Amino acid sequence: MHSDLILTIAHWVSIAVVALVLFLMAYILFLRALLLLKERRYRDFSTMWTPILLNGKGNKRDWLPPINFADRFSFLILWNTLRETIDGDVKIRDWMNKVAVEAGIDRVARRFLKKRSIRKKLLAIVTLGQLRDKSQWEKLCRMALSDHALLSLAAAQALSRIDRKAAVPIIVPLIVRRVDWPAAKVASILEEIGPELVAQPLADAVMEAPAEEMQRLIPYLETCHDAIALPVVHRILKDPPHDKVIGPCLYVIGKFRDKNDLKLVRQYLTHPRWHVRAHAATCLGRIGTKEDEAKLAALLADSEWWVRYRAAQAIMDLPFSSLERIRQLKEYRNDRYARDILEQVIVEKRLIRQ
Amino acid sequence: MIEYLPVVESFILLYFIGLNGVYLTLNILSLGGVARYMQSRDVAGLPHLFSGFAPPVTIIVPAYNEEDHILDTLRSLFQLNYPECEIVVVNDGSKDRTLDIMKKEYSLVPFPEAYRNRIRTKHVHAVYHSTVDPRLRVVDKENGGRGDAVNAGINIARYPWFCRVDADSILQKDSLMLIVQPLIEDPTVVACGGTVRVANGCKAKDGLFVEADLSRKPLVLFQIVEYLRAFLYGRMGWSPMNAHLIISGAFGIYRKETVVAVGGYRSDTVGEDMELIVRLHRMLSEQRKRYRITFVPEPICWAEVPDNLKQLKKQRIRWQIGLVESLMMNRGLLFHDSGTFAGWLAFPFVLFFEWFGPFVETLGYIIIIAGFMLGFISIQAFITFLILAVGFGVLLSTSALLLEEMSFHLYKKPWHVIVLFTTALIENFGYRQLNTVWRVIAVYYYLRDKARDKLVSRKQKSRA
Repeated sequence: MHSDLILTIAHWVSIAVVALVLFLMAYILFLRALLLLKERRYRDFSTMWTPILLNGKGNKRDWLPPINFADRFSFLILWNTLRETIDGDVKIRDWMNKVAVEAGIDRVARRFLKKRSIRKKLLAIVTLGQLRDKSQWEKLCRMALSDHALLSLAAAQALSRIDRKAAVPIIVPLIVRRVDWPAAKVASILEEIGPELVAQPLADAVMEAPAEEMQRLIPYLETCHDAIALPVVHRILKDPPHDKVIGPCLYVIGKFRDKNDLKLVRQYLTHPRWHVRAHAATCLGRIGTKEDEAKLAALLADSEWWVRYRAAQAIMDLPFSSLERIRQLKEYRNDRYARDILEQVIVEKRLIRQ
Repeated sequence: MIEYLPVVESFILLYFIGLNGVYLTLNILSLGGVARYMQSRDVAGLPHLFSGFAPPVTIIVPAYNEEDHILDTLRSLFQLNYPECEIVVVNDGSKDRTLDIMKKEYSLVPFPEAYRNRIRTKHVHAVYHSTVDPRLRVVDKENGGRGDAVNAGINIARYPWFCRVDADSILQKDSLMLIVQPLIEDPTVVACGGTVRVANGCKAKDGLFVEADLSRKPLVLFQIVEYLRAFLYGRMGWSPMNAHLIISGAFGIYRKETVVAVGGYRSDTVGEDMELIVRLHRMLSEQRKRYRITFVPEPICWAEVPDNLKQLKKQRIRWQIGLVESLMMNRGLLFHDSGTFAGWLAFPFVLFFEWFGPFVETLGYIIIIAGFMLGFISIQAFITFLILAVGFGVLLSTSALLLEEMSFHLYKKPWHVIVLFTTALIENFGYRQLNTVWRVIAVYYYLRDKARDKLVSRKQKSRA
C-alpha cells in the first residue's frame, strides 16, 4: 500500500513534470518570436530617429514622427546614448534638447525620478541635467543629499548643469561633507562650473573646513585661479592645523609652478613626516633650479622608498636634467638605496621614451 | 536485506525531492533576479552613468604553458573599454615558450621593481616591463600553481581591486566595466564574479568575443546547457542571499586588501578559486563584518571547455576534489552562529547534495536497476522513476533555457533553440550519469590521498 502510494504520487508528478517541460518549450518559442518582433521594431525606430537627432544643424523638418508610449523608454536610451557622442557641438545639442522636449522624454525622465530602481533614477537625473530642466530643482537638491554616493553626485552634477550659479552654494558644502565622492568626478564638476564662479566659495570652504577634511579638499584648489588658490595655501602653511595638510598644499604649489614659493618648498625637504618630504621633492622637480639638484640628491638616501623614488623622479624632471646626468649621478653614489632608485627611474624613463 | 529496501528507496526519494526542490526554488528566485536585472540593463549600458566611479583595477593573468593563448588574451585585455587598469601576467614556471613569446611581442625588459611580499609565494625570478605598452608587467616565477601565481600578482598589484582572468578566457570590450558595476553601487562588495559561457564554436576576433554560436560536438553542447544551469540559476539564485560559494577563476574581481587580510589564495588545493570564496565567507562572518560577494548575470567571459572525454573527466575530478577540499578547509562556516545564508543554507546544500550527492545518486541508479532486474521493482515503477528522474533533469535544463531566453538570448538563430532543447533532453541519458561517476571517483581519490597523508605523517611522527 505504502509503495503503491509512492508509485501513484511519482506517476502523477512525472506527468506534471513532462507537461511543464512541454509548456516551457512552447513558451520559449513564443518568447523568441516576440524578441524578433521587438528587435525589428527597435531597429526601425533607431534607423528613423538617429539621423533626426544627429542632423540637428541641417535639419529643416518642422514636424517629428510620433512616438508611441511603448517606445518612450527606447527613445530615452537612444537619446542619452547619442547625447554622449556629440560632446561639444552646441547646435546639435540644442536641437537634441528641443526634440527631447517635443517628444516628451522630459516627462518620462521626471517619472523615472520617482522610481525605486537606482539606475532608472540615475538615467532620469542625467537626462534632466542634460536638458537643463529647472522644474525638478528641489527634488534634485534633495537627491544631492542622498546617502547613495552615485545618486548624490549625479544630482549635484545635474544641478551644476541646470544653473551653475545657483548650484555653487549647494555643491560646495556637499564637497566638504561627502568623503565618498570620487575626487576625479568632483574636480570635473568644479571645472564644468568654472573657476570664475567656484574659486572664491571653494577657497572659503577650504579655510573653514574641519581640520580632518582639509587634507582632502586642498587639492581641489588646483581648479581655481592661482590668485585665489595660492594665498589660501600660504595661509594654511603658515599655521597648519596638522602635518597631513602640508603635502596637499605642496601639491597645489607644484601645480601652479610659482617660483616665488621655492624657499617655502625647500624647507619641507627635511620634514619629519615622509609624505611631506615626498611632496616637497615632487614640487621641487617642477619649480626647482640647478642648486636644488644637490638637495634632492640628499633625499635619495632617505629611509622611505617613496621619498627616494619621488626625489629621483624630481631630479629627472628638473629643467636642465638629462639621462646622462642621472647616470653620472648614479656612478658617484656609494649607497645602494640611491643607486637602485636611480636605476629604476632611468629604466622607467627609457621605457617611456621607447 | 530486502526488508531494508523500502527504507533506502524512501531515503533516495527524499533526497531526490530535496535536491530538485532546492533547484526549483533557486530557479524561481532567479526568475525575479533576471527580470530585475533586465529592467536595469538598458540603463546600465550608458557608460557615463558610472564614469568617474570605476575604480582602478589590476588585471592578473596566471599563465602556465599558455603559449597558444597568451597573445590573444593580452590583445583582448588591451582592447577593454576601461578608464584605468594595468595588466600583470604571472608566468608560473612555464615549460613552453609563454615568456619568450611575450618578451618578443611586447618587448619586455627586466625591471628593478621594488614591491612588498605581502603574501608568501614561490621565488620570483624577475619582473619585466613592456616597452610597447606601459600598462603591462610580467612576473616570472617558480612554478607553484595557479593560486600561488595569482598571489605573486597581488603582491605586485598597484590598484585596490584586482581582476583575475584565466589565460584562455575570452572577454568582451565592456567585460571589466560590467563587472565593476556591483562594487560601484554597493560599497560592501568584496568580490564579484562574472558569468562564464562556453567559447567553443563561438566567433572571436583579436582575442575578443564577437558572436555566440553552437559547437557541433555533443560533449560541448552538454556543457553549454550545464553552464546555463550553473550560472543562470545556480549563481543567480544564491546571489540575493549573499550565499554563493564560488567565483570562477576564469573571471572575477576582488578587493585586494580583503584578500590579503585573509591570506590570499591557498596553493595546497586544486580548487583555489572556490576555496578563497568559502574562506572569505567564513572569515568575514567570524569577524561579523558587513560584506557582499556577488556576481554579474551578464555573460562577460567565454572559456574553452574540454571537447573530449579524457580532458573532461580530468576537469570534473579536479572540480569535485576542489569542492570537497574547500568545504573541509572551511567547515567552520557550517551553521556558524553569525547566521548567514552562506553558512546555514548554501554550505549544507553543497555538502549534502554535491559532496555526498553523487554517492546517493549512484546508489539510486544501482538499486532501481538491480531492483528491476531482480524483480523487486515492477516495470511500471521502473518507467515512472525513469520518467521522473529524466523529467526533472530536462525540466531544470529547460528552465535554464527559459531564463536565457528571458535575458540575454545569445544564441540567436532559431535552430540554436531546437539544438539546445534536444541537448537538454539527451544529456540525461548517459552524460549526467557519467558526471556522477566521475564525482564519486574524485571523492574516492580525495579520501585515499587524505588517508595516505595521515599515514605518512603518523610514520614521520613515530620516527621522530
